[in-house]
Amino acid sequence: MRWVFALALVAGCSKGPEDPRADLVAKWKEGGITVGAMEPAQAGFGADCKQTTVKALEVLLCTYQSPEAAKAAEDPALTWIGEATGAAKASGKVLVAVVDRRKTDPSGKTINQLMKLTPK
Amino acid sequence: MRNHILVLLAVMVGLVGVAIAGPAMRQVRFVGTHPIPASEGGGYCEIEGPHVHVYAANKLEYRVHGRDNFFVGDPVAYGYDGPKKQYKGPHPIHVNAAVGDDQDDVEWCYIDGPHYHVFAEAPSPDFKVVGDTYFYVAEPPPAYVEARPAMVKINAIYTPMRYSRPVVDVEPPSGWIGVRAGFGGPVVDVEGDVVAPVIVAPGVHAEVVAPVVRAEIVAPRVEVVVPAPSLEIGIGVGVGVGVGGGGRYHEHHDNGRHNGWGKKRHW
Repeated sequence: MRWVFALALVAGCSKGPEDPRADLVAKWKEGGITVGAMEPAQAGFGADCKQTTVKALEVLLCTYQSPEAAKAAEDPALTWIGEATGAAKASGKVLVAVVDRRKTDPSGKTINQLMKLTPK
Repeated sequence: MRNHILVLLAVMVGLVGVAIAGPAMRQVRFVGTHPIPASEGGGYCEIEGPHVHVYAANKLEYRVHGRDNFFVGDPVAYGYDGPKKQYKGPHPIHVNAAVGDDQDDVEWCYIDGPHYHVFAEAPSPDFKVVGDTYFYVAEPPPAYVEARPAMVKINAIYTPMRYSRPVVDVEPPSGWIGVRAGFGGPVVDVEGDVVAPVIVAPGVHAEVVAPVVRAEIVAPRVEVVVPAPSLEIGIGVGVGVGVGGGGRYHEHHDNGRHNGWGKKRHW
């Protein structure tokens, strides 16, 4: 009986709560986008944020308790974009914000590709 | 005394620093693809969904949809070479359909003659498609008529532009807005030129090059004077050079505040 309990515990712990960012990043990769490593990030509008790069674009992904909360964070995310070209969009419980601070995507092609691969 | 001089110098250096840095550039919201001002490098922004830039949209070529600026001009004039639809004459634009949201918003395109848009209108009795060209054949609402004197000036932007316009060599359908009195009259542009409407007789090729008739019109010249002070302010303060940009594109900007107008969207 102890063994059964221990096995169940191990099985449960090994999986853990799924990070909703994982599905999104998988979609991006399926769409041909190369995504850099995810690093923990601080943002005033989200408690659980991670930052990565797509080409030379900065991409922030924050998770929320609900899709509504993620949607509500779209406007605050514009302050993170600041004085640059960028976009912010909620996708389920994840907020995606992307910014072109180095002006490497003048036509917005990569931003558009990223956002089109991000479902609502 | 020496301390006073040092303080004065520090203040002066600070003021010069502020003048060089200038005010923070303001984010401007856009939705849909649009031209990039020459001052920002030119070209065409391909971002289809809501996004922000730090340059303004002008009043004649953009309409405000919700809180976003939506481009209602001819994208081909700015180098766009993607999928497009051709129209002739003024017509409504269902912006919500163009951008793919649920905010009902009908705006108007005031471009005379053949032109392109990136969106197509949904099938409607208000439009007739002859050949590959959309013609608006319904009764325009008062809102269209009221805004026309101001918004028709968009033709002063496009008429002199050299680009590959659509060639419409079909007869306009009956009821087409372009041949109806009051909706397709002469246009006075910002330089006092009278730009003839592009009304092509049935069966005649509509290569768009509208005849421009020079006329001495006193009143419109007043409008040319109006924008000048704002330019002087920008230069005098020593800021904003390269922010707002120059060229014709920016002569019409209003810092992103417009009233404002599509087909499916895209993300």
